[in-house]
Amino acid sequence: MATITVSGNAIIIKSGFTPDEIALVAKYRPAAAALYEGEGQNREPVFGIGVTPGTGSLSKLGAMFSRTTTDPDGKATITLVSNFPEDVDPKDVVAELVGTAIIQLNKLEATLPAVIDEIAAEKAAILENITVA
Amino acid sequence: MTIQVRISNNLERDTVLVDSARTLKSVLEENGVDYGRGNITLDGSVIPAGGLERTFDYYGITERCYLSAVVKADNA
Repeated sequence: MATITVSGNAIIIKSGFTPDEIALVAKYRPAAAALYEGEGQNREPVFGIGVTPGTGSLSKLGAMFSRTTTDPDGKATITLVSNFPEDVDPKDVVAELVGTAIIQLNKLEATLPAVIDEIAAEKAAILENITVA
Repeated sequence: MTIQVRISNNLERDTVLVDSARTLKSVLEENGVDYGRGNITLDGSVIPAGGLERTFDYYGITERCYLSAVVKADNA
């Protein structure tokens, strides 16, 4: 589950996964890196996850985490900047700004552990069959 | 920024979510669209030579766009 930290005017959204894990899913299982709505021909992605060279971004359409991280646990982060009015609780400002996107992000992240395990198993099987002579 | 791109050619269309920092060419390649023939248009405007190497950010796409690769057959 993603966590949010406010420090100064910065809002830092921390994923439950590392940038490498997110990039792995986006590369090997692009379909698993998104939530979908609709059926048949009308089925389309409504929220995606990925990594980007910048500081990251979060919108109603997706979460792009920074490719690099300084997090002690190595988890992927997005750094946003916002103004915080003096008379409003900063938590309310953050909830208003990113609330709906965080709900979607948490739904998507809940599905990722199984996908990552599956990819890791496939990768391990490939590595087992490689001989360096 | 994540953007929604509706990709289409003469035969099919698909909707994908991509990072706006990516180039048009990389998104077309990833989705198996032949960009070597016909007109490539972004939201109805023809992409000039070399324009496929530019990013969606460069074209000012912030949320949604249509990216089409359409081959127009000559009439006999």
